[in-house]
Amino acid sequence: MIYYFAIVGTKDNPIYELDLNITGAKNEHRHLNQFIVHSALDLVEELQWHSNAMYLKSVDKFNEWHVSSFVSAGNIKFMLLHETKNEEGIRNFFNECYELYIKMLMNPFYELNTPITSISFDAKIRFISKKYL
Amino acid sequence: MDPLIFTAPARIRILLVPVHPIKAATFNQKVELVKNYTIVKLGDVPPDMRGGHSLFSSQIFNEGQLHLNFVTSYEPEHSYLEEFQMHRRIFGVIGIMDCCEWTNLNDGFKKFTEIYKNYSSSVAYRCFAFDPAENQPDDTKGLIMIPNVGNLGFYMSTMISDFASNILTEFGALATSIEKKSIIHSPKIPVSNLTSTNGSLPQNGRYSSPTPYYSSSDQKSVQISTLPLTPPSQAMTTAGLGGTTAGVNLKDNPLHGRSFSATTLVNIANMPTDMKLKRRAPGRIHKLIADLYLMAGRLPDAVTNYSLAIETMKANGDFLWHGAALEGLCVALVISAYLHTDIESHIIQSPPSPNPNSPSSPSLPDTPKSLWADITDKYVTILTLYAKTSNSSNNQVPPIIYAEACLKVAKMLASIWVSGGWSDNALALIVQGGLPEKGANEKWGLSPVSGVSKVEVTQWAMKGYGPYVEDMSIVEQIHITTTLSTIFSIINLRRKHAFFLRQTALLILPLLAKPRTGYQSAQKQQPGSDAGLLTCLKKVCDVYGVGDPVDNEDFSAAVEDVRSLAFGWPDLQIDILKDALIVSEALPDYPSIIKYTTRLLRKLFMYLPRDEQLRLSSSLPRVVGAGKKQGLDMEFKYWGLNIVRGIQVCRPTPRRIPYPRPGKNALSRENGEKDPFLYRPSFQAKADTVQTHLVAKETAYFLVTLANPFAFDLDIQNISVSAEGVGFTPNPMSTAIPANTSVTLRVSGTPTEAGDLVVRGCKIKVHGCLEQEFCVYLPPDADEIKKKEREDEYNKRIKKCGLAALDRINHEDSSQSRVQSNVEQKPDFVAEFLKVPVIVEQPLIKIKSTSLMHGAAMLFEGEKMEMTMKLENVGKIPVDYISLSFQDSTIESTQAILKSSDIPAEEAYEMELFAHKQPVFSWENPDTPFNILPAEEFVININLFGKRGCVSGMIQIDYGYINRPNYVDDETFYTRQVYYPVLLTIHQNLESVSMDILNFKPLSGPDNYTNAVNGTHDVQHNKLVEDLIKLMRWNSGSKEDFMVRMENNYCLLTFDIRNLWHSAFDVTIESNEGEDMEPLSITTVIQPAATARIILPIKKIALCEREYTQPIPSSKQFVVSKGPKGSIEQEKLQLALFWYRENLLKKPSTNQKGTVDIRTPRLNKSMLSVLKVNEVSFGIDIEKAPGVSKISCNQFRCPVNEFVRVKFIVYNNQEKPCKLCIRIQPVQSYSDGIMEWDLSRRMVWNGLLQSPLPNIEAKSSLTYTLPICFFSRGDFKFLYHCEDVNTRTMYFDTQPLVVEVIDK
Repeated sequence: MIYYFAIVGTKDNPIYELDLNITGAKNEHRHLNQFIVHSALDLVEELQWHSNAMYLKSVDKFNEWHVSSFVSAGNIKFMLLHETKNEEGIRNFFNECYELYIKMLMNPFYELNTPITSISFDAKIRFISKKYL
Repeated sequence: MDPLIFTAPARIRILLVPVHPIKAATFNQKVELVKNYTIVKLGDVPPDMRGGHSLFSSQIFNEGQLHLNFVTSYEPEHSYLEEFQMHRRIFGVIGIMDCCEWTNLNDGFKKFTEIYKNYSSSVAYRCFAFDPAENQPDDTKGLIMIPNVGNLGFYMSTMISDFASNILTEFGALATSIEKKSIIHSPKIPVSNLTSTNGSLPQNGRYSSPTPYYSSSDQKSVQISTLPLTPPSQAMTTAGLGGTTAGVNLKDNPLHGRSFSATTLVNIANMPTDMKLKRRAPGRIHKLIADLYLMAGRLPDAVTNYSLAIETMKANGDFLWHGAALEGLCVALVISAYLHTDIESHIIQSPPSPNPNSPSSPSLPDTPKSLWADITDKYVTILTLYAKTSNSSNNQVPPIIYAEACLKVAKMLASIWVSGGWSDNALALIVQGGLPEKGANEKWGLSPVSGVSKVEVTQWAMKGYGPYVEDMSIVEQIHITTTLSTIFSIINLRRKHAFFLRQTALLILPLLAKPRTGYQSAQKQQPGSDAGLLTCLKKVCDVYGVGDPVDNEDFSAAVEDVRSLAFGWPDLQIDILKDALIVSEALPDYPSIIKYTTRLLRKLFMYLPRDEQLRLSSSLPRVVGAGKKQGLDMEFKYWGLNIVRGIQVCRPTPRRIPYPRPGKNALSRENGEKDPFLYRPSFQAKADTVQTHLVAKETAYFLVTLANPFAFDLDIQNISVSAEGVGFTPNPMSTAIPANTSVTLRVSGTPTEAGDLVVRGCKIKVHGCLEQEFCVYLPPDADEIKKKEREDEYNKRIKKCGLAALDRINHEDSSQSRVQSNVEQKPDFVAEFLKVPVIVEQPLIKIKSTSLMHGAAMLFEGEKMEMTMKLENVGKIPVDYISLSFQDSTIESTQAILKSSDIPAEEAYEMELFAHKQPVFSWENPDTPFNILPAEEFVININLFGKRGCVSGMIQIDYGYINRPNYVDDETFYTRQVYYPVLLTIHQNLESVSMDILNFKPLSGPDNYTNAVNGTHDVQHNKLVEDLIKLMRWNSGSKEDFMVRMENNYCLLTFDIRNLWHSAFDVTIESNEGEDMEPLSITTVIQPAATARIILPIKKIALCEREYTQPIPSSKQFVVSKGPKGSIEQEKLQLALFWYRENLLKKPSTNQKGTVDIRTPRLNKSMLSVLKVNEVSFGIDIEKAPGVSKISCNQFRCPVNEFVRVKFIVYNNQEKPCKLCIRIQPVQSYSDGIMEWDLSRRMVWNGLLQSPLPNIEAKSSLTYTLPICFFSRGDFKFLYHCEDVNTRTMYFDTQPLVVEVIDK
């Protein structure tokens, strides 16, 4: 099972990236993942206006991959590339991520739209990804 | 032409082939001409003359249209589909011949016939001979001459209609042959067509059977490939190119031969038969016939036939064909909607009415709006049907069909979306294809009018790009990706558009690389095709945030800013740019390589590893070299970030700094007293912001800070300061900046004239690049920053980067007014350049020599010396102004003490006096004007004075050239300074200590008197005074005179002088006696380490009250004293002490070869009382009589028993008259000290011992005479005093009157 999680800022810039390779399968598609997620941003921008929910569910499908998305109040997009549908799990995952991100934002030393380098943030995301995905 | 048009099944494919020789341009022109006639109305098509096969007669459905699809290329790869989808066939071939190239048109026609034979599926052919000459006969059958005169349009349309009629006739024959078939096979993907085998396919046993057949066609293909005119296989991208690159690709494609003609089908029919197939045949025949009807424009018939087919297929589960029939039906419905024909009526008229329950039947399109929804629903069914086939072994849907179905729907929806809804416009787009006009709907994708959402389009489109795409041939993949990118471009999803464009580019890349390696040198490059690909890349780069606008970004921003402000996804940007690089290298297009390499380096260097950066940077010169070999202009600008980080003017060496001075007039006023204020609020401290001036015609130095953020060294071939405003001659230099560092260079240049020099920045030529100017702006001041912040606040609301900004930029470009307003705004933001004033030429002086050894001098305290200094003018212009100023080490320290501590005013006065009134250096300003010409010398004399505690001093010479031609008096001029430090050693040699002031009445005592008169032995305690007084040189008058004068007015000043030095000194002490008298002076020799006591009679000092009560002068600003105020008496006393001392010190002055400071002693109260002339003083005298003599001051001798008249003289020294009362008390003192008070029997007196005196006028005296007769011998003392009647102040004499009464 391959998951690729990315938080994308308002300028199409990745704020945080995480390759989750749960089964240990080889993942040579890292770049392709990024491209797919990037191209799915178009749809996120489209869909965010049609829903009041932050969680946009699966917004795009590329071959066998699904792209699920979550848009924060500040137009920060959480993008998750996954192979199987797991709506509820992903919703929980996104919600927890959002909480973490909000906490990150409250850090006075963190500037909006800049890469998140916090190690604890990374560890926590990994933890919740194990929990829900 | 649009590759994936929705109505493709309704189009008749007609191939246009060039009949060589023909010029590519001519061919393209003619193709465009022919393509104007794609739509032929059925009504215009002449009825079939033969009449036999009227199955597809044009006369039945007059509203119908024939859609001709003129292509210039043919894709043999899909020939296996031609049986399944008839529209893929080439139904007609039109040869295009240029008559100018042929002399005999017959030969040309023969050649065309040969070409034509290759396309066996074609049912009709024509050869158009364009631009025939007059003499060329029009006699060849089948060759149609198209004249270039007359009504060309009409002629052409007639010809095309005729051609269409021909095709329709042949359709009849085709239909007949189809109807005869008993078995119709589903399409099979040829094995060799697959680059990688699909897992399920090899198991299919049937796959092997067609293979031999294909191999036979290979021979044909080889034969064909020898013909230069065969169209290329990569038809989708190079459609316009005709046959130029065709021959090569054919070799790569073994499947060139098209196969499924009617005859070959029979061969397949011989395969093992299947009952199922036979059962399915009728439905399939219906479908094929319907296809033909559709192409023939006979929509009602087509719909009827499709319905029949669908019904049959549904019954026997022929999913693939069922789906295909549904697709055909949809096309028929769309076209009918486009033509606004009511198919319904036709269908109802026609006997085989469709089953209303069937979902595939044209279920009453009530409103046109529901049609597209209906079609979408149908396509959902179609896809389900197709999906079902994947399980069946021999009816599997070819992936291309599946993908195309998805894409067709997506495209249809996109067309509807872009036209803002289901309308005629949308229909026209769907039917005719072509690029939509960008409407208002595009801008706001939210418009609900269209009813189609982008998401829906995307979902359909992405269905068409499944994993099976990778298994398709490259050409098919390109076909799909281009279509996808088109769709996404239509619905304005830029990222997706770019994603598929990139895919396309990557797919094309291997195709590009192959031919180029082969015959790159032989063939000239095709700018057209390359440009297409490059444009494609450019678009992709734009979307990923690394497009051309990046090149125009202001890269003077710091690296950190670049990182945070960057738009886009760095990893992807690197990928994209690398892709772009690979593609441009494959072409090869050198300018693009440079462009992308530099962009990659500049924009993303912080994300690139070091070796990558090194590789990229080292590739640049190679590419430039290669490009130059090709004769391209490969000069390019430096691409990196701004190298220059800062520039500032070097302060010149101290002796070259020019100092501004006020004009000559002000100068004379300048050297007055020092400013008495400690603090002036209006005075601005400019210590730090001293303006640096440059001097014309002198080399100026600039400190330039250069930074290299890259991981490789930057080789700077040439760097020079760029300046404007006044003439400036830069001195270029070269350097290298190591990787990841910054360096500071000293770059020089010479301003050639006076004025304001504006330093713009640096001109730098980086190795391999053009010289470029890097500007350096001054950092904005506070106001500007505030303003900018406000503006930023506003600008935050407008998107400046990112995808949304692309629109804005384009918008701005288009509207001229916006641009102009932009220009107007700009000056607000323009930062200033560094401005340096350049002043006129200045002279330069150096100190050539001085009379001092090693710049050091040794002096005794108070010693005076003269030194000389020789100056030389080493400049180019004369010097006519010199001003000296001095500093010594004492001033600073005393100043510091004065400022800091709260010392008594008296002390402060001393210190000030010490600091300022005794200059170590002094200099006489020469009165006569002088002029030191260049290379001349000038001598100045300076006096040195040995001041205690001084260890060093500084001579500062300001010089300049004032009297230039055109000089205005008040104009500011500049001076330069030369410093000469002097080391001073001041030895303290003499010291005066323990001062005292004593009352002094000379010869005070009977013994003394005797001795003095007789010159005999002296009493011990008086001897010293006498001796010391003898030492004095009596300059005027005799000693006796002086003695007389001394009586009342003098007191004795004594002090010790100690010699601290190791050699003897002659010391002369002078006491100033007033103006008309020579000073008293004492000269003595003081041996080393000895102390001499100096006794000096000095006049008592009389100061009026007004004088001694004024405050102590100070150069300091008056500060209200902080300490507790003493009583008035105390204050008075203090002031009195001060002022008397001042006057005392006016008197004595020592000198030898210098003056010893004797200011150290301080007065105390008792000294004061001595020094001071009393307000009321006394004088005693005894009237001359026999036997009466004066021994000394206040000592008299008189005979016994005789009356003597004792006179008490009372002096009023005050400024005012006073009324006094005198009291006299005589006593007799014995030698043993016993006093006898009762003297009534010893003496008698005539008068009052206590009596008021008459008023004494100011500065006058009064004599009170008391006649006394002593009866006995002995010493009598008279004590007396006066008392002021008014103030009760008592005045005493310093000594009592002593009368020695002796016998006669």
